[in-house]
Amino acid sequence: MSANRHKRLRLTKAEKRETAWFYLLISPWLFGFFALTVYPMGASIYYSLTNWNMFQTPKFLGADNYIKLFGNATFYTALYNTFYYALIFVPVSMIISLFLAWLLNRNVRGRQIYRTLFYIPTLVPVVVSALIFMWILAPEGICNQFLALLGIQGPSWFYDATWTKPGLIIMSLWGLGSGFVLLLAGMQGIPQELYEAGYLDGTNAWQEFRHITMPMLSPMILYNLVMNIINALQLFTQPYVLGSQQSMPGRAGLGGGIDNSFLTIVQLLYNQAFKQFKMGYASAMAWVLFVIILILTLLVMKSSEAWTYYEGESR
Amino acid sequence: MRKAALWNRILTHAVLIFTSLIFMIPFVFMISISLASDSSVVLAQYTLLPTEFHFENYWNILFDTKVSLWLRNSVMITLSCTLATVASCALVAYAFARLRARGRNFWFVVCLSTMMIPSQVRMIPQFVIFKELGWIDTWLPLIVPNLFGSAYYIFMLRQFIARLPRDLDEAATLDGLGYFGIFARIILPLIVPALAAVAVFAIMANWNWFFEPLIYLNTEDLFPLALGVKILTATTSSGAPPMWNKVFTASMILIVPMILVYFVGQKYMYEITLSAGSAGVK
Amino acid sequence: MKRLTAILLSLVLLMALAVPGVAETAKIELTLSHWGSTADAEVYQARVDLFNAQSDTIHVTINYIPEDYATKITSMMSSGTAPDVMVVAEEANSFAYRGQLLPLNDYLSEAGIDLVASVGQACVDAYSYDGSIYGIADRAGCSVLYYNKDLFDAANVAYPTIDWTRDDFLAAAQALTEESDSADKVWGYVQEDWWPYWMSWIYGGGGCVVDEEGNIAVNSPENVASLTFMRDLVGEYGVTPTRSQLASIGTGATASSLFASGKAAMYCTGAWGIASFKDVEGLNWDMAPLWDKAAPAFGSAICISSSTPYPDEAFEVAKFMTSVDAQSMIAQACEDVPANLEVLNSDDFLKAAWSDREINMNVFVDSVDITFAPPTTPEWASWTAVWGELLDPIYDGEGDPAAILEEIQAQMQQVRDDL
Repeated sequence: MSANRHKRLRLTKAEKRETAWFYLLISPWLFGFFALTVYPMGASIYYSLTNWNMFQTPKFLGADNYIKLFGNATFYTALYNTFYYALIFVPVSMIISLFLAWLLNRNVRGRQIYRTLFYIPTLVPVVVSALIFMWILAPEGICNQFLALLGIQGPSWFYDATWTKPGLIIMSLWGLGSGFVLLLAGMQGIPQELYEAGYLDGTNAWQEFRHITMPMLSPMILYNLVMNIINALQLFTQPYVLGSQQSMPGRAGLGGGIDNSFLTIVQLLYNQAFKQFKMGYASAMAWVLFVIILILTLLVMKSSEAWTYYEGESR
Repeated sequence: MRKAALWNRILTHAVLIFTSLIFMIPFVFMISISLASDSSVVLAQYTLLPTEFHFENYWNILFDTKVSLWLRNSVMITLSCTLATVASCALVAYAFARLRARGRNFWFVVCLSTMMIPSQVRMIPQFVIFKELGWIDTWLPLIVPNLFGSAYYIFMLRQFIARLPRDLDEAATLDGLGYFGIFARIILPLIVPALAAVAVFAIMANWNWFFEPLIYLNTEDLFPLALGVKILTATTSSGAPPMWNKVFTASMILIVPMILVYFVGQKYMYEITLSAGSAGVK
Repeated sequence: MKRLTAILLSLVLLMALAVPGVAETAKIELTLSHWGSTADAEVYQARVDLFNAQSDTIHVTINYIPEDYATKITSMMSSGTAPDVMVVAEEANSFAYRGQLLPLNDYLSEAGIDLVASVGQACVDAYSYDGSIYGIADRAGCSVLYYNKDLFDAANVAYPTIDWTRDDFLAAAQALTEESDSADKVWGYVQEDWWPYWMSWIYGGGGCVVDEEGNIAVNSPENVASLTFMRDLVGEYGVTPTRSQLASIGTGATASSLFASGKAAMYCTGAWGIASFKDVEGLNWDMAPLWDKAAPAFGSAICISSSTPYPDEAFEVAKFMTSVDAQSMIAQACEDVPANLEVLNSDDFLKAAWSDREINMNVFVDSVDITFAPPTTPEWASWTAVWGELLDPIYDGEGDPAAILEEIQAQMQQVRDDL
């Protein structure tokens, strides 16, 4: 429709009216965009260049906050923890979701039931899943009891600095249902003829998956990947709940567990902003996080050109 | 050949059943703790399968003034946020789908790209704005932003509206309906399933909402239940362990309504997930 | 269209409900905030109920914030919605520095209250900043040593006294610790990662955090020795569990629950420990002043928000809460140590009517001379955060104390420069 409209300098009266209505109708979003996104982002840049505790007037510092941030060992710890979590959780959850979706896509009886069972954990609030996993992965908890049956001495999970992050990852994997459902829906949307053609050629299951399912699903995988990365890098609630269970109420620590082994960037940021009221420093941290997310997203998108396939595209 | 197919099927089911069991363990354990007696809580002795059945824990918690207040707060916050989101997103999505205007594609791309912005870069100045408005420790910072739409839902609804035949609009224009009239009389009734899907997503997200309530609400009486559950785990007196049976009873109260919402809304959810998801980031 | 209007209308209605309405009542409505355990909450409620019953003009509502109290209060202050009357502990100076508390000097002199006479100089100084008084001390006391008499008897160790030195403490702790590889054994001493624990070692060893001129003096040889001792209790001597040992005893196990279950012979905390332990069956305990003659002062004051529209009425509330009548309720409920000296020395507090056996309540009177005031400057919250974070290895019996203290010194200075 818009292809055969010519670019004209003058709009007809009807077009002007339509344009006016368009902007009127999107005005709620437009207002929110400027008031709650554009202005805050600008203000946040400014704050990040100041020392400000919300009470006194901001003191302009220039790049000091950023310099301080990159010289701070705790920030690197948080950065390391967050990346450790994201780099393992995102691929593992993607592989398990793909595998489960693929299994269910093979005309399995009771598909609805399985799908529901895998999805229901995503309905559990993160606070609750953090609390229940704290018990499951307790040093004497049911997970370690089970491992003991197999003759394995389980670690103390959230009380052992090397096992806190794997514990967090296991906890998050319980909620992989939302991505799984999306992938399953995508697989079911792949036209059956494609597989039938393959069947005649005598392809095996792996070849079928590799050459038909994966390419057809690639845009959805990409979407999932990007959203998972963005979310994983913003991990907050699980470590926050765990951390506050582990320290006593009066303690002014960061709540990042033993040796800050599960302190994430957003948790550190929350601490700086809403416990220490260092708004400038916290804003600088937010921008560093933003840049990291932006770079990673762009890298994934760029690399995806090699492995995603869109219908109607010629190769 | 047939034998291989049978084994294949058995294997598939074995894997699926095993995985399902693992996925169910946390629920079973949660129920088990929620049914434990107070004395088991003090000893911190729980079993995976319930051995005690104190169903009165569920009955008692409904009469716990705090929990019932938090539950009511959760309902109020969730409903008002969801109504606001659905109304604003529908309006904006309609404009993006149907109205031709200069800059439309530009703004649509801008709208989509806001999904990629981590909320942290906006969080502090937003807090300052709401503080200046005197809205801290009220529900307004939670509800009002929903009036301005949400990129993901706008996108989903736009995709849905764009697929509706245009003849309807054109016929309505001939009948003398304006743009808003077309939206309200023609489009709105047709996108009810999509609105239902958005509503289900929004209800689930708002019900489980944690971060913003945490930073904006200070008074316990205003907390939603998700935050209340966290409060229940704060040790009640120095040395005494939190009443974990109560914590998980309250947790079940938090989960069950969402499972119901899911069963009612799942058919809408799958449809729209598919249509929005397949377009992905394209 | 109609439906949409209805939706929008109900939305507006809901939002109107969300804003807490100001009820039109004859009495002036004030809010009082506090934190603490449910036992604390009951006593505050009883005291406020008493006030409400006897006041014709003012009605006080309690805002109980059990978690993250200082953070929540700071956040309310930043938005100008702080409670009219607040219970404040070590953060009083930070709040005063930010101009959030009402100076009370004029109110006190107008009411004819001699604060030094009623609560003592130390409790006045603790809530004074830059020459003005910002809070009336409400709860006081200090950290004391709780010990399990049965375990002492079994190990044939004499009960602790005020003359105990660091070496006496260590010898006792070693004798009391069960020889076993199990985490579930009896430990000599248990601690928490809260500021009074490390600070009592620092001050007990003759060191300090901030010297008399107000300079940060953390990296002193005395402090290195104290921190080394604290580390070795866990590592070399093995009389105190590491945090993972503590956790492997059972999820949710705390130093306090270990003492309550008879698995730890010694534990330090404030007077609120009495309420936790008095009803534990089979626990034969008593209290003694801390060794090393250094006990960190605890306490809280009733402060008034500088933004309250009713400062006079708020002062009435503060005055009542710290009166002999209201303070006696703290003593009778054995919630904590009342700040009011008259109540502290009364039989209400010292005779411990709630106990069926002799309890050494005099420990709080005896400890007065060995109590030191923590450096509650405006940097307090950030400083304790620095310590809390950097002391992590020490609690696990590891780390180089000298290097850790150097880093703490640097970071504390940084906090001060950034203020």
